[in-house]
Order: sequence, then structure tokens, then C-alpha cells
Amino acid sequence: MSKMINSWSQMRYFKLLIIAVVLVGLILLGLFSASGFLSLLIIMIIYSIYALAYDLLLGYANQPSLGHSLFFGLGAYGMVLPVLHWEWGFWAALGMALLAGAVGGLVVGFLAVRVTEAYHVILTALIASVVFLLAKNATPLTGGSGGLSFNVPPVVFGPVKLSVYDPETNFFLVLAFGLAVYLFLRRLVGTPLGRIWVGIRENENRMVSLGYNVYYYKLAAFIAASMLTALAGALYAVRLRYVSAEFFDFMWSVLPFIWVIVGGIGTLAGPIVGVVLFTVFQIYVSDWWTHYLILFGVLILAVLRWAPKGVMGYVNNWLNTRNARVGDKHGGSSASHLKGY
Amino acid sequence: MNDLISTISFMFLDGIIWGFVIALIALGLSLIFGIMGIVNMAHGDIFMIGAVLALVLGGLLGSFWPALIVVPLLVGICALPVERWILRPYEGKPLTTMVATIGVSFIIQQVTLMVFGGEPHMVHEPIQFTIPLFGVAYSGYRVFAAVIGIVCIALLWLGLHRTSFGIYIRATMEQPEMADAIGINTSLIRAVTFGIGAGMAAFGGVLAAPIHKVFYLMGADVILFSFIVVIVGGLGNLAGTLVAALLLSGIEGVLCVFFEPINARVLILLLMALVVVFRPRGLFSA
Repeated sequence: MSKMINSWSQMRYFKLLIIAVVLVGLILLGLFSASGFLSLLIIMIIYSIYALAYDLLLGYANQPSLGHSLFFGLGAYGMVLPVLHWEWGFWAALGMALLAGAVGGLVVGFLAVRVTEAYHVILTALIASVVFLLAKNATPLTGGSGGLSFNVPPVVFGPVKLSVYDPETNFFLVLAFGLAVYLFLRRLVGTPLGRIWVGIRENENRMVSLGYNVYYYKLAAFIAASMLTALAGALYAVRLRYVSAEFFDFMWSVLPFIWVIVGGIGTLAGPIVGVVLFTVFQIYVSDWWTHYLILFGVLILAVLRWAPKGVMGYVNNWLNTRNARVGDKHGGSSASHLKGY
Repeated sequence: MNDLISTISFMFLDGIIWGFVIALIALGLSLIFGIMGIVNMAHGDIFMIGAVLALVLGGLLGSFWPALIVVPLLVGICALPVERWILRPYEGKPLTTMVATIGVSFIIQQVTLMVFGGEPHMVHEPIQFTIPLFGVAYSGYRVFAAVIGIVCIALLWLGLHRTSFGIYIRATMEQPEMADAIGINTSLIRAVTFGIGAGMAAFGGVLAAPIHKVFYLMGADVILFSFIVVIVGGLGNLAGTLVAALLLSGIEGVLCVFFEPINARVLILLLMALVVVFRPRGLFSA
């Protein structure tokens, strides 16, 4: 055949095309939609950052943390408190939020990375619930469950000052962060560091035998995920102009876990698909039924049943079988020849 | 000084008595994890269902006692199809079972909220006598609940160690494939064990109904504590789970003498975190 099908490079262009279409679509939506819809999009992008951060940890470095609300809350308070008490600017406060996430990640990771599986789950959940209880109690500092409101300072780009109180500005700011995080992670998982994480996920003992210091690599993933989670928390606080001890609530640890598992663990598109699915569902179904969480539960079970590797796992599977079939038509790929043996 | 000692002893005993309810729940959790590898995030909600059903049944019949037998049976039987038809495909994959049972937990909570409403209820203690304990008139019902808890745990132990069905359960726990190969109906064992675990949580719920405020989110208080108890006691180690439940509840009670309850909770959680870090296979591992 003159036309050889190279499914790998084809898939790559296909993926880039989808990313471009989504991005252009988002920009158009940002320019032309009503502020109510914009606010939904903003929330979804912030959640996506959180989900991507969590997938880096769970899907790539194989650490099932159930305490990431800790870093979400730390990021939010890291953003709000300097603005409230010391009148810091936007970027300085955001830097503080990231720093809080990194330091928190270092301290928790120092302990949690040592243990795996169920022990990791419990330890992270324990530490997060300790902080949640303390934050609820420390009302003078955190505002407790009632929370603290704050005025978001203008975002300064050189001579330009932008106000996030304009929905469009807020949207494009969040979109820029979301895109940056996505591209950063896309690049990161392809680097040697990313491949080492995948190696650890697939066979940790082997990586130890090969001479990698698995502890440091896992700690690095934990800290990176904590920082990105803190970024999501800070942006969420900016969006709400508000923060409360409820940011540390266990629910905020469970959500990213659901998004990632349902969307497709170990892929970058999966977490975003999970977020979109659940957020759209939450917004629209909660409108006509207060007890929408029942359907939320049914949705989780249905996705797990029909797509055990998440929505993206299902899609990838479908694409792969389709490619294999196309390959057969054009003279057959080597893999399908081997199948009979 | 004497006062302090008697206060401490009192709080320790009070903690241990609540510890028996926790132990029931945690043993169910441990059993379910041990046999099926299901990390049951809905366990706290099954506990809640037990308490809510005890409230409803008590209201209907005018007596608390029938609930002690009816509710665990009912919940246990309802749990059988949940295991067989919903959770079975994910067994042995802890992460997936976590998400699946979170889904189940949403459904249980919201259905309860929908049917019974969200406001907390109190159930009157069905027996009204007090026992003098370190100079305090202690609620007789709590002691009674602990005794029933002990009886239930003893029955579980006898069931596991002195009946053939118990041997099948333990065989399935140790070597599922081998158990299957020698003709044990492991499919049935799994479903029934899940039913027993759920029934135990519901039983704990019935016992806790007169002690704890009954409302649709009451499981959340209990679930983390039970999970920690299971881990601290050693995964799949039932005796360890029991000891850990009693010890941790007792210590929390003592800490309440010196600190505000919320700080006592923080301290006990930190203590458990230390155990998980330094003895990750449980306090009582070899």
C-alpha cells in the first residue's frame, strides 16, 4: 500500500487538534457568553487544575492521597491571609499560596510517602482531618466555618492593572493558569522524571533495584501535586472572594479522587473529562432535584461498570481497537499478526 | 488527687464502653476488607441506617427492643445484592472499591435525607436505671450496650472459629483461589460476609441510637475513626481491631479530662498518625 497508516503520529495530531479546538472554543465562550455560564466555566477550570494535580500524584506516582483538601485549604488561606492582614498584591499573595502548598506538601509528604496503599490513604486523611478540626477551632485566624471575605487586589501585568471582579478577566486569568498547568504536566510526564514516576507506578521494586531513590521521586511528585492543588485553592478563593475552614473539609479530598477515577486515571484528559461530567451534572441536575447526589452516586457506579478505566480509558480503548482494525485493512499491523499465537 | 484519678478512670471506662460500639463497626469493616478487598466508604452510612431504622421502628412499635434483631437482619439481607451485583466486579481493587462505595454512600445518605428529613433526633434510652460509677450515676443503657456489644463480638468469634461456615470464611480470607478449588462456594461466602459486616455496622447503629444524635450524616463522625482503628489494629487482624478500638476510645476519653473535646480528638488523631508512620502494619504486628 502506498498509504501507510502510522497510527501513532496520527493519534498525536488528533489529540493536538482536539486541544486546539477546545481552547478556541473556550476563548470564544469567554468572549461571548453570559456571566452565569462564565462562572460555571471558571469553576470547571479551577477544578480541572485540582484534578490534574491529583492525577499527577495518583495516576503517575501511584500515591492515593485522601487528604488533599489540606493543600486546597492551605492555598486558599495562603492567598487570603496576606491580602487581608498585610495588603499584599495579587502575585505576591499567589506566591505565598504556592509556598504554603509546597511547605505543606514537604511536611506531609515527608511522612506519608513512606507508607503505601491503604496506609497512605489513612495517614493523609488523618493529617487533613487534624488540620480541619484545628482550622474550625482557630476562629480568630481562619474565621472558622463562617469564613473570611476579602477584596481581591488588582492583577498587575507591568503597566496593566486588571480586576478579577470583571467576569471575563477572571475567566481568562483562570484559563491561562489552567492551560499553563496542562501544558506543564503534558511536558513533565514526557521527561525522564515523568517516566521514572510511571516506572514507580508500574513496578516500584524494580525501580529500587535499578538504583533510583524512589522515596525522593515520590516526594517530588507529592510536593508538585500539593503546589498545584494550592494553586487551585487560591484561584477558588479568588473566585469566591472568600475562604473558610470548610475548604479543608473531607469532601474536598474525595472530589478529586472521584474526578480522576471516573474520568480516567493516568491520563491528562481524563481528570478534565471527570470534572466536566460531574460539574455539569451537579449544576444542572441540582436545579431540578435537591437530592441530585443520588444520581451522582448512580453515575459513579454506572461509569465504573461500563468503563472500568474511566471515561478516557474507554475512549482510548475504542480508538486503539479501531486503529487496529484500520491497520488490518491496510495489510495488517505486526501486533495483530501475533495475536493468534 | 483522688478526684482526678476517679475522673480519669471514669472517662476511660466511658470511652471503652463507646469503644465496643466502634469495635462492632470496625470489625465489620475489617471483615469486609479481609475477604473482598473492599474499602467500604459506605460503612458509616450503613451504621447511620441502623440508627435511623431503630428510631423509625421504635416509633412504630413503641418499643426499642425489636430493632436490635430486626434491623441488623434487614440491613444484612439488603446488603447481599449490593455486594453481588454492584461491588463484585471491583473486588481486590481497593481504589476502585473506594470510589464505588463513595457512590453507594451518596445514595444511602440522600435517600435517608429524602425519606426521613435532615433534622437530628434523639432516641430515649430504653432502660432507665443508673449505675454508680466513681461517684457518678452512670447511664445503665451504656453499660448494657457495651455488654450486648461484647456478646455480639463473642458470637462473631465463635462463628468464625467454631463453625464450619466460619472456617470457610477464614479459608476464603487466607487463600481465595485455593478455597474455591476445594469446593467452597466463595461467591456465597463473599455475599454473606458482606451481609454480616453490614449487619454489624447496623447493629452498632441500633446500639448507638440512644447515645448519639440520629441524623443522616452521623456516619461521618464514625467512619474515619473506624478506619483508623482497623489500620492501627492491623489490616485483617480482627483481634487487633478490637483491642485498638477499645484502647483508642479509652485514651480519647482520658484526653477529654485534660483538653477540650476537639483538641482531644486532634491529639488522638495525631497519636494514630504516629502509629501509622512507625508501625504501618499495625500495633500488634510481629
